[in-house]
Amino acid sequence: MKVVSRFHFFYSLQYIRYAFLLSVVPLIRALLEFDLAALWVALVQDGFIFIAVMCFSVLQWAASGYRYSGKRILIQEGLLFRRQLAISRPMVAALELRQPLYCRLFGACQVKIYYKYRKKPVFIWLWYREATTMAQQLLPLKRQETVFRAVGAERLSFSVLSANLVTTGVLVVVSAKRTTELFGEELNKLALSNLERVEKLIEQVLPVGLAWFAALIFVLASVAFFISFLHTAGFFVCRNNGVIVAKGGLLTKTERRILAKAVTSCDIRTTPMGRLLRRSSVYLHAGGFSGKDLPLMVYRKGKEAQLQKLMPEFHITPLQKASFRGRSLLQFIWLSGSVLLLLLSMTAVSAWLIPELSSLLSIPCMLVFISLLVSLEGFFVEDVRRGENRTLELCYTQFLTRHRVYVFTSQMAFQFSHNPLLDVRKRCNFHLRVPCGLRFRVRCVPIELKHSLSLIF
Amino acid sequence: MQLWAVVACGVLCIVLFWQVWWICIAMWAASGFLAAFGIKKWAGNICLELSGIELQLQTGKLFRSLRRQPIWNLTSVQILQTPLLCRTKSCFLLLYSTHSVWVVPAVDLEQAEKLALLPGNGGNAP
Repeated sequence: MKVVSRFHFFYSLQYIRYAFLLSVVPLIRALLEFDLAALWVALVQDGFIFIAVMCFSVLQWAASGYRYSGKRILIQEGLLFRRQLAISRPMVAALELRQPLYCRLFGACQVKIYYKYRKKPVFIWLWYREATTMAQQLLPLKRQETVFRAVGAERLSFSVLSANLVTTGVLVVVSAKRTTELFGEELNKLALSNLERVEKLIEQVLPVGLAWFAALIFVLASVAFFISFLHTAGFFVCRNNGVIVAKGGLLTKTERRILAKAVTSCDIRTTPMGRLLRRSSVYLHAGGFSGKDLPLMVYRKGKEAQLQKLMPEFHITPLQKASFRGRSLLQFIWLSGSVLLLLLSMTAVSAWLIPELSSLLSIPCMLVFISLLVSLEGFFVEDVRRGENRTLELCYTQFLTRHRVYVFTSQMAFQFSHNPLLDVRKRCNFHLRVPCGLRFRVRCVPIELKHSLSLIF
Repeated sequence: MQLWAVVACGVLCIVLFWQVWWICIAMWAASGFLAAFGIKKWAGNICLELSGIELQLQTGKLFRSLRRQPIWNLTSVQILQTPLLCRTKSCFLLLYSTHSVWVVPAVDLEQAEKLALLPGNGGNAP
């Protein structure tokens, strides 16, 4: 194949990162041993590795590229082992253009093309203008009419972020205060003189170590929420020419185009924080696309029209109670219940032996208790039924989240699994599979559904 | 006698090389032999049916499961035969669909060939 357009030179970065991995190990070893001669040798060796990998990646980049052939895009990759891909419009379910800050500085754009029947997407680096041309070729847009602006989502992220930062701050202060009370200024000297001793110290004095660990978790959570806040800034969703478009982001600009016809299911997730804010996040699945890191939009009760503008066949129904007669409560709460019992017993023991640990154990206890409540809700609401507008509705709970899934595709498979305990209650578990291996599970459904639930609308 | 020899070899392999793939190979060989030598008790629990536009696969006895999918989900059908399976006119049937693969052991060859001729149109649902 004759390559017409080449990828962005960032394409070669994927090989340079292997060189980095190869070179960093001898460097760290030399640094840890404080051996200057070994460090010099390692640096020279790394220099050679980098030059070799750079040459290889430039050759690889020169041999790779793409061209348009009719309504298809032909992609060629590889120098020694060549791979050719032909992507046509009917194969594509969704497309993602992503521009982190470092890419915007160099005019690069990460393009991910999601297939309808293949899980793994195609990932390439292009110049931004070429990426938009390719997007227009595969999933063309005509005019944009905004359906949703992420005001709610930004507020949600911001409030969660603020709450988290406050918690982190408090935890860091408490941890630092306790550490100072126990060791005074000695800890700073120890930390500077020998890291290993500090590690041992943390291991020996568990409560203080755990306090820092909890603080670290909250710091990481705050960073995650801050990134999510940056991603959702200026976010909007619209539909035109049969394509759903989600666009926005402050530092990292993201544009997602999802073919409305290829949408297999819509997942409305309600988390504990979402319950407090009376909002749920909406995720769309289309072939291999699931948009895991960023929801499509935030749904609020009474704002069904927004969702219906995006997906006219979408019809959200009020949450209904399932027939829970004959259901096994134990099947729903055994996991969270047993973990909660374990944590409570640990708290009781710690209150007796290590009282400092009890306050920290209360955090997982609280989380598992919420999970138990969510599982309890699942006992009453988990169900599968045929909905209006040719959809299949599923409601189930998982850890802290309640999922309400609306399946639009007719390309699905059912699985009903039994065990002797469920047989006695005339119940079975239901599994649903949609293309690209996406799977949902509803527990303890009536056994009559085995034959009465129709596969076609 | 032949069956016992194979079972003994399988057990020996597991004992000598305690690895997962050996267990898989042994299980696969054992299931093939069970099907080939007409021990229908085990295979009798597996039932593949075509009911209208639906394919139904029932497996297991105590831990039963029923799988259902429309025929338009099928992308391809693969029939796998070994010399031993040929003797009993049965085969392994692999049904590839848009979301998963169904592996059905000890299927009657005639039935498998009928399924292979189904108009599986790779997801062009009505």
